[in-house]
Amino acid sequence: MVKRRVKFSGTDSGLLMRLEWDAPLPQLLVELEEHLQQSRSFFEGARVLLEIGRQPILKHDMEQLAVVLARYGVTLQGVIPAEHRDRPPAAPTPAPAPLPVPDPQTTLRLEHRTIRSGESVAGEGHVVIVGDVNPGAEVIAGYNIFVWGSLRGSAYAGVPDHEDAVIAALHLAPIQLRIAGYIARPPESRPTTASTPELARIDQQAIIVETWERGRVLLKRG
Amino acid sequence: MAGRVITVTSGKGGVGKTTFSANVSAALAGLGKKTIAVDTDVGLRNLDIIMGLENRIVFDLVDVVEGRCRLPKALIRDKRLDTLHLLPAAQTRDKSAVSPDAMEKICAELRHLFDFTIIDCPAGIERGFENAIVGADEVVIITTPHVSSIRDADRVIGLLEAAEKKHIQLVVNRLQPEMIRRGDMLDISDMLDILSIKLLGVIPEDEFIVISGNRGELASLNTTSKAGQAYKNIARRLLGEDVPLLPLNNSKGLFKRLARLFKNH
Repeated sequence: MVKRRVKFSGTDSGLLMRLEWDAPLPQLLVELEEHLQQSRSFFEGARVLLEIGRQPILKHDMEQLAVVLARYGVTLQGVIPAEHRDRPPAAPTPAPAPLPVPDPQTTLRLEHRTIRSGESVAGEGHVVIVGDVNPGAEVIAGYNIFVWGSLRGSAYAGVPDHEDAVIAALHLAPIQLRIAGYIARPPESRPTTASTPELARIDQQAIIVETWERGRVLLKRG
Repeated sequence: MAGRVITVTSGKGGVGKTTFSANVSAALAGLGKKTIAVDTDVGLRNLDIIMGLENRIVFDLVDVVEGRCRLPKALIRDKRLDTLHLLPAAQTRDKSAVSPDAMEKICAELRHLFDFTIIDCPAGIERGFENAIVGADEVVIITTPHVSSIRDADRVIGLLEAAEKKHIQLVVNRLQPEMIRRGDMLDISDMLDILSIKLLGVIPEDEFIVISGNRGELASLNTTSKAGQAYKNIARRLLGEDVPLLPLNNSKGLFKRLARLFKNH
């Protein structure tokens, strides 16, 4: 049996056409035409990729192939290198070692400025503001919030559920405080001129505010 | 000549931005500085009314932006002072008729024509605000001694800081010393404590402002108005003079404290 110089095969990439270039192009074109003739209905409307090997294929040759294919309703979509098909699928490159995830409890967001109305400062771990938090501003932290200044806005610590989180400020006069799921607002009668540093924390299912005592350790360790 | 471009803003409406812009512009012009007041409140223009120049408007800011006339042609010279000018806003359009880019170009042009360009900003923090601040070298925040006004001023200061405006000063308007003395009104030190910016001046409540505004007269050109005197003092402070705060009746203690605040800031 005569070796076929024109072969078609179906692959993941679509319908592939392979040519054995051991005959001149006109011969290949004849064989291609025969092949298409035999399975006319199969090729009608098909799209093929021409698989090319190492030797260059001239633009003129490509065009002639396209003309013959078009006569049988086949579109030449493009070319594809032979290795592409033969090569086994590449082993997935090993993923880079994951970066160490910072412990949210130890991450710190430090803002050295006034947080003004309309601003929101959020951090995964502790948030420290060196400056004031003005009314209409909010500070949100996964763990503790410390304000080295006046806290007159809103502060949400321990988001979403760290009930041991605290909120401390040199001057604690917030619009609202939240720790984990608890919400507190200062009583209407509370004087806003307290000049001692204060600390808010959860005690027996409620937020309590107490004066910060000198030298007291705020954070639980371990 | 490279003049100063100063935007007057507040966030909140009705605190006296336009009155301040008109009066301080007139006071600067009265001190011999070539001054232009620019109304950027497109669609709700008022500055022309306060300055009593409404009936002289032919072209406006939007005409300049859209190329219907060149900038100098839209400038209105004041009827009282040769050094005072107005660039009016359009009344029949809205804020979107002016882009920040266009406004920046206009400011650059005005800077070369005038010693002082005073830009009257509309209320709010949207497009009109953006237009008003884009070309400014300095910003004056107007607040009244009301919690809501201070809250909005604080918000605006935050936005200005984000826009990297460095020279931001505060003016407290419509102060009633008697009420502060009785403890019924916010104290200036409380306001400065929250806003933590430099105090440029304090303007007392003065019914002459209502009268003069309705007549298109300017308090700062009147010799007896207390508010007018405060505007004049602010103009002199803008020129770098060290002008103490006005002594007001029955409030010596308060203003002594204010004088201290000035020194601290």
